[in-house]
Amino acid sequence: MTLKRVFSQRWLLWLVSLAALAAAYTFVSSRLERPDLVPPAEDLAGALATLLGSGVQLSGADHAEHEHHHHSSEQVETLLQEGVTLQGALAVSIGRVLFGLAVGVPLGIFLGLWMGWSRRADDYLHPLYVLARSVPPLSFITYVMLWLGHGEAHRLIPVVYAVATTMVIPAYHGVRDVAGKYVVAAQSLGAGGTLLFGRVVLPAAGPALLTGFRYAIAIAWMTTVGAEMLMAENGMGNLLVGGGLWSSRLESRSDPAVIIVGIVALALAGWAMDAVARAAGGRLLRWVR
Amino acid sequence: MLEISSIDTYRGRAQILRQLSLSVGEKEAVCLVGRNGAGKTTTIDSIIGLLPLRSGKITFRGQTISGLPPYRRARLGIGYAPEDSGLFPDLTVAENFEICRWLAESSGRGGQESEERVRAIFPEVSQFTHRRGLYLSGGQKKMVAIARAMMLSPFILLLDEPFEGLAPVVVTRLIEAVRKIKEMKISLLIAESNLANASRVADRLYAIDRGEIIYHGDPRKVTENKEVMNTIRG
Repeated sequence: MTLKRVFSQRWLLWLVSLAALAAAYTFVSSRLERPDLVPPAEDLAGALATLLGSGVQLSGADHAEHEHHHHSSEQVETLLQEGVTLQGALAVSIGRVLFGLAVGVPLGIFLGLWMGWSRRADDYLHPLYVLARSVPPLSFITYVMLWLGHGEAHRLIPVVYAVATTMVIPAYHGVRDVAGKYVVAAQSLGAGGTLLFGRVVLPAAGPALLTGFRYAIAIAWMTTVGAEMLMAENGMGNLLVGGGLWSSRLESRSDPAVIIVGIVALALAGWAMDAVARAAGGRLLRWVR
Repeated sequence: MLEISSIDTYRGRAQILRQLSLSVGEKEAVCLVGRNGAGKTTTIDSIIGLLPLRSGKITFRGQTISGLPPYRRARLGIGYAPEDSGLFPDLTVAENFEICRWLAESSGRGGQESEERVRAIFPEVSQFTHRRGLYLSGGQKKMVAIARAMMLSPFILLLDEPFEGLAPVVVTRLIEAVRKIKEMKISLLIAESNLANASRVADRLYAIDRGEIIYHGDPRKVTENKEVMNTIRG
């Protein structure tokens, strides 16, 4: 009964499912005996501690002891040498995701609303949009590099592109599917132009935009981490592939503990962002009951 | 007040209205009676500007309005309650009225006085102002739609099938409301498929069939014209 008071039931179920996942992992890792694929939980904890940068010294004297208490591997060594920490990598990736959302979402919404609202714009832009949408965002990386060199642009542009193309469809349908009769009703009450658009069509498209935004967050993460895995010396993608350049990666063996810690961190970051989006959306769209 | 002169209107490729003319005078209630598909709604859509005219013209209080977009016509004082009521289902009745208040600010129509007049016509609406549009009964929806249109103090009110699908007692209630609106010196154009209902409110009557006016005159005398009666009864 007290438990019920402390946790609402949904929280309890949530914790139970997490505990079950952890237990299943421990069970599999102990039974499988393949630490190169499913490292034991202590390894994960060690990798997490090391990547968080808690008391790591790489100086030779206490290296042996260090090995004992802390997780170490080729991938971890490379990362530590490059000064990579989990929180640092996460911050860089979150920054890229947020940039992609900040630029891509307004851009996509603008295009979608325009195409949804104006028949003429739709006639001209829709075929181009369908072509553009079919291009995987990461395929732009090398071409952007030709234009802008090796820098931040070729990581950010694919993210912006991916987010914008994702947002076009919900904005487009949000406007299109606002039942014509509501537009008629508003018009027949004398609402035209900006009043009609801003106070009837846009709010009515709100739920579709929120759903689209939640997809866009996921797409932004996919593209960011993908771009970082290919061409970046920082961020979560870089952490997952273990730093260094592609050529060296073929020779070094990946550390499963680092990868799993990285994936879990990505999952948590994505979950947190989605929760924020839902909460903010709920406030903005509180008239949708 | 409202003058429609020989208009042709199409829906897509199909011609619906053929050289249709009708007029509504000041303080006059006019009914447009016809079967389903005769062109009643198309006539109303042409007046409020939802459908473009191929030919002919529409004037309202001496001004040609055929080229104006719907919202400009509404702001001139043409009120409209659509057949499906056109309420915003996610909004409460009070919020549906709120829309008129924004519009009153920008167009200068309506305001406090007209809100009170509306309350006098439909006192029962105040009992469900906090209910969402979605959860209203058919009769309540029609009342709210008419009340909403009245909020902007129109010179003329266009009602598309206001009595359709309602129980007789509710029809009587609405007819009473329409009579009160008439007493406020507001012109009315009512599209109606039921001749009996139309005769209870109309000063003048037009019968429409296949997009053409087939009868025009006193609603009490239409029953004498067998041919017209057979047509509008289907």
